[in-house]
Amino acid sequence: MAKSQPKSTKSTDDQADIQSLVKRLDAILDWFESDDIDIQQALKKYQTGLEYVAKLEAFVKSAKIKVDKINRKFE
Amino acid sequence: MDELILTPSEFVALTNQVLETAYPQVIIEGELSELRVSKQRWVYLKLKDQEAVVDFFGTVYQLKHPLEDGMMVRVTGQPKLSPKWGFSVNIQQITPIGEGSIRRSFELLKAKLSAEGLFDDDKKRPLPEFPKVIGLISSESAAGATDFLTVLNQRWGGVKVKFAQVQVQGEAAASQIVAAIDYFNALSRPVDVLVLTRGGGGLEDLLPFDTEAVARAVAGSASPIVVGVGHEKDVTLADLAADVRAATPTQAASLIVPDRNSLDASLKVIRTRLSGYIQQTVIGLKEAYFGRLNTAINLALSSFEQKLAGSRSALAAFDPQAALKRGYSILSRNGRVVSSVKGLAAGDTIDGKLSDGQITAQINQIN
Repeated sequence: MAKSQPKSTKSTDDQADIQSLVKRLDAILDWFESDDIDIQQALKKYQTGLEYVAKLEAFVKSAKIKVDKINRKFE
Repeated sequence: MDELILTPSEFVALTNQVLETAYPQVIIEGELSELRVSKQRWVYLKLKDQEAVVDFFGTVYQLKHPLEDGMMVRVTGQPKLSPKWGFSVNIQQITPIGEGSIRRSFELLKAKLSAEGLFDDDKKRPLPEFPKVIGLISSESAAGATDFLTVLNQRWGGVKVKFAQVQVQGEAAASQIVAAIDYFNALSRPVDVLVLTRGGGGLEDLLPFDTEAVARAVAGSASPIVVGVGHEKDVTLADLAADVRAATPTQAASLIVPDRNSLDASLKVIRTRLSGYIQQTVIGLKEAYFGRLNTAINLALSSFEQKLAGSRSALAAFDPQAALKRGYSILSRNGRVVSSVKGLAAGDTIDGKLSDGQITAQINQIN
């Protein structure tokens, strides 16, 4: 049976994941702005970039739901 | 009858024998004159009236009150015929009499003790706010003591009172009061406050409280001392020497302990106000910080969303498919993208990817 991660470690990993995604997305955008673009890589990077954006948008949506829950708890 | 012929010594002895038998003690009142103190120990004075003068002899230890010529005084003493100095009365006790003399004696002693700093304000000690043990010096039969204890218990019951019974008027009063103060001073655990009190009385009744010994004992009390002599208008030397003067024994009790009922009422008001203040403060804090936190997190999320939207737009600009739709194509040869004419020759076959499909073409000419 897989052990569940302790909450503090899991949230740290999540935080690290988000930061890592942001960094990687920024890297992709920087690559597209460079002079030397390989078209094949461009296709792959484009797709990867969109995947990152989708994940980050999902994170923002989830964060908004959590904020609402917390607000209701302390009202 | 045979004549009685005596020598001077025999006469003196016989006269003294008669005096001791008939008048062992006399009390004489008169105007004081020719008061003289010799070698700071021996006192010589005369009492006179309009027709006679009597000599008196004593020591300074009998002078409990300041005296000066012209005062009316009462002297208690033993008449004696001295073999060398003639007739005089040995002083046992001397006190001023009459309002004028008493007041004059008071003023003289007051000036003397005041000059020593006994009454200085900076020597006055504050009373403890909530005394636990009170020393009471008074007479059980005096109305003052009863009044004091009654008011004390009404205002703040449960205070321990250590009572020292003394006379509060008469010759013995001063020494007993001094002894009582000395007793309280000697306690291993001093009382929180000492009270010396009696009810009202005439000028002569209050004389013990105007003696030097009592004034000094009050000033030297180890515990803060309240004197309440029940004499509203006049102030005794004991009053002046005390840390706090009370006009009456009842006022003494009011000065020493708070009124429990009014204290309870004040505490209730304070409790209510404090409770309200704390509630308001907590609510204010909650509202202030909740609002700030909420705004902060929403701003952070909003900012992140905007950045993501920017990233999405930027990516869209780099979408290769969008370029194909605009009429561009991607050329490749042998599976590799061709981005230059270098390496190509007429007759070579190349593949082209268009927005809606692929083509294969042959190069006719390279410019």
